[in-house]
Amino acid sequence: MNKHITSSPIAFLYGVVVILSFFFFVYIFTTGDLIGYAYDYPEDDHKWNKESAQLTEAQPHSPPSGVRKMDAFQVIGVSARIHFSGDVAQEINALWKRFYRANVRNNTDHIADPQHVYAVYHQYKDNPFSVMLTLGYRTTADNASVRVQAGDYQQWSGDIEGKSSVLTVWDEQHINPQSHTDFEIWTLDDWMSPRSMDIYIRVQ
Amino acid sequence: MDDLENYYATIYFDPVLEYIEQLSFGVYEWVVLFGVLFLALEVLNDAVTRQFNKKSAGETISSLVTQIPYYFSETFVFTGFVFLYFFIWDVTPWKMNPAGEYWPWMLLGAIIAADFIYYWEHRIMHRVRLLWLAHSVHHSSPMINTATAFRFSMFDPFISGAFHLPLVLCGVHPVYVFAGEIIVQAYQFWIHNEMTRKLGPLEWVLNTPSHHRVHHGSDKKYIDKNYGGILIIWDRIFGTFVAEQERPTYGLTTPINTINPFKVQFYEFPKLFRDIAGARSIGHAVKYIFKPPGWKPE
Repeated sequence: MNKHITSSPIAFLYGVVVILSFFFFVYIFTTGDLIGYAYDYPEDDHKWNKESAQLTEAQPHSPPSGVRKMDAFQVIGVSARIHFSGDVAQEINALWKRFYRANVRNNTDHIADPQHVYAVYHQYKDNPFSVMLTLGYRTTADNASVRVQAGDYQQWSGDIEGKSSVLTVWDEQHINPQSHTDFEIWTLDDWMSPRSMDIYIRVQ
Repeated sequence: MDDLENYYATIYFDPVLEYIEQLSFGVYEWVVLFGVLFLALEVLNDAVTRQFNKKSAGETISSLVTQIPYYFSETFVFTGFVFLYFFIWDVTPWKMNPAGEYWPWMLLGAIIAADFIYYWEHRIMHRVRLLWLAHSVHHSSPMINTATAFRFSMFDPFISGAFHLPLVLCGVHPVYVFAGEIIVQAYQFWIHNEMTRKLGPLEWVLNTPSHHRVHHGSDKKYIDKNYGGILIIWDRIFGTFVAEQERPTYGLTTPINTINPFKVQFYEFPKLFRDIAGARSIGHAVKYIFKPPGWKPE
């Protein structure tokens, strides 16, 4: 074997690239501008028609399973405004990921019902065409993210794959969600995986 | 409550964990990209200096091919360790940041801790023959270039996951542990080359290409030296440091002489089986497994 390391002007270029890559990694470490949110791509379970803001592949719902009278309650968790002009599935998916990473259940006091996650749709707006979504737990704390009004709620069976939701019921039932604070109740197992979901739409 | 207030009403949301998770996984993808670039420049340099030949091309390809079984193994094993780490984290009564507070220095601490663990993991992999079965794959190439940095055994992920477990048991959040582990691992990609000579004062603190060439040397004075990951100070502290004086002879002390991917993966296995089968007692058989490579009964 050659006992001397031989190199060429390429070695100089190599050195330049090494130094540049060093600065590049410092840059991405300090700005967080990485390849992207690799986990935040939607699973395309349902498609949102961006122009009409209608769910184009909304699944037919089973008939509502009844009306339940519910007391007012509060929910604490993570929230984001879902814009119907954007990719709704992706936005909701990203919020769920935030919810999991925030580890709300372990990091929040005064959780009333840790087995159920509430997805509350509220503060609907026409302009921009959007709704606030809060994912969290029922709480007795003062600093809740959203308060759900007491009243009669129509219950529907939901779909944990995302094919039905409060949004699809609003769409199918031609509900004007202007003053609605409707919600889904997700039942999770011990590993935080969804087992079932019910949709609650307030009967005006 | 307006949008912004509502967003920040999520007071327990910890964007740091999310950021660290993305950082540690995303950085690896960039490492692969830069690794390809570095390797291309090395091959170009070899071509210009007339060092590129069939043998070096074969060794380079052989190193890269080890990524295929490694990748599949890593995918399954790493997933398993993610579940295990989070399970242990959930049941661990002592947590360094139980409420997921923003502790920016914790990432730095996790990297240093992971680097310290890497040193001992690496040292033990060289000194326990059972673990050397896996790690010898990385050392079996008779040359060193960026492709060598990606030359792994499919059993490596088991070892790495097990060695970093104590950090979770100490109460470090699994995301920080993975981040530290991945960043230390990612650092290795640029120190496997002969293009970079010595880096002045950095040689005192950091593991550099020069230090790591020594580590890959099979020369008597270089063997089992310079185990560090990012920092070389661990070697200086624990007495395993040797500076590069001349170009090392790379590879195993008994050269592998093959680029066959299967033989590369399992080269040391039959040798150990033969030694165990020929052992004169159970004690000797156990010692063959756990003593350093090359151990023989008196």
